[in-house]
Amino acid sequence: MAYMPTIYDWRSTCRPRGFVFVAGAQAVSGGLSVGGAYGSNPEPGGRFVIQCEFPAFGDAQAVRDWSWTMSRAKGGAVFRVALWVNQQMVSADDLNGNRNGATWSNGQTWDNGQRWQFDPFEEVLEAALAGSTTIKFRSANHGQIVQIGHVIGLMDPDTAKYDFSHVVEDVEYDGGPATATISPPLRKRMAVGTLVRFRPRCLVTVQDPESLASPLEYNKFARSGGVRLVEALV
Amino acid sequence: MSFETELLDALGAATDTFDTRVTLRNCFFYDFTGDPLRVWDGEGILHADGEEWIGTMFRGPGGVTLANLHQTPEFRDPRDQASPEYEFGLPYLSKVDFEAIQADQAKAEGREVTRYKVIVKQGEGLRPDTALEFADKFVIQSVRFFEGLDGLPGESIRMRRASVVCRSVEIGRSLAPRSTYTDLSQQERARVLGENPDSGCAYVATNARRTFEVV
Repeated sequence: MAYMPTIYDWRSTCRPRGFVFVAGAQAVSGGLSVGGAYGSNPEPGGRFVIQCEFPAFGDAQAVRDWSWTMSRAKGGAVFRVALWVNQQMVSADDLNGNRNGATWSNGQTWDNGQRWQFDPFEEVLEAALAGSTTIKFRSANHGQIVQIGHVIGLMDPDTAKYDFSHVVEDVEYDGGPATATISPPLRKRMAVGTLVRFRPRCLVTVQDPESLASPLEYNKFARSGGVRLVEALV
Repeated sequence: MSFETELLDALGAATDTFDTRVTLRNCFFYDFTGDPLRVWDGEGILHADGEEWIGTMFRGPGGVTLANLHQTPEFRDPRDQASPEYEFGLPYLSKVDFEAIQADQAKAEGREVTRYKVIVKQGEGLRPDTALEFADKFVIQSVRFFEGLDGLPGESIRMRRASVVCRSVEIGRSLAPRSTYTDLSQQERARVLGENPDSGCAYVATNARRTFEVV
């Protein structure tokens, strides 16, 4: 029986004040070049890292969620994180969407005031093997909006259980389809029709669980240091 | 391109002055009975030669250094570099893994370990184009287990590790022209190759069990 890790959802109340998604490649020292420059070589297929800073949580629900997250992280748990939105994502304006989410066709929200989740995507046009670095996807629906530096997401088509995020290192538009070079490389094969998400999700573990914990200020506010989430290879 | 052409291309000629940038890693194939294991010195799954190789590198605490969970020390040869003995290990095993390996150690003895080299070029991701290059082949002699307590009483941690001792077919050989040849090492070599030992080698010339010194 294949081993499938238990995947926990990162709590929606635990949003960072700021984060950055840095793709692959721990660099290994390379040595002195002919010109006298000290260079480094990227680790092939290195994991991405998300560096976050969390604010102090005062809300009781958020502190409880933080308490759960800290304890789970200590066990090396794998979390599914729906990446919060920063300037690394394709902007909602380019996607002709309402960043707050869509309403029902009659213009109304749900009873509790919430809207449908904003989850824009395009489709992959050509199958790609695991370990390769290029994917080709449609750009007809939204136009040529994906640019270098954007973070996009993919979902494993075989099990529909795993999510991956990548940074676009290079993108070419040849008429309609976009061919993007991504980092880190594809962890699973991609089939035609797999969704490329513009509000990506990913699977991570907390690099250093100790960084999450620090005594609650006045026994009320949960504070933490900088947190590194590193890609979980499942 | 083949491995050799690729590597020579990257190194250039003696008169070239460009920087050499090649990522060259080891790939190990442990041919255990029924459960072959393929690992490589990197992060993530490498797709090479139609197989999947599991990466054994991980980031240490703090996320800065890359450490290798698969310990492959420098080769050790008590004689003169002609008959290497390798000991490969997996450190920091959990109790469950440790006992599972103990239960299955018969699957390792007598099996082969093959080391390959792989060139991963930038832009290839984890699917290198260049074919793997054969480097060494060893036969596993036995599995060694170590269990111990680390730290002060009351605050100690139990450490467990397992390693395999592998020998190549050069076992017992020596480079020195005046070195010692023994029929025992000849027979050991035959055993490593899976052949029947030959007791007739005790009569091999006048070198059997003698050491010659030039005075």
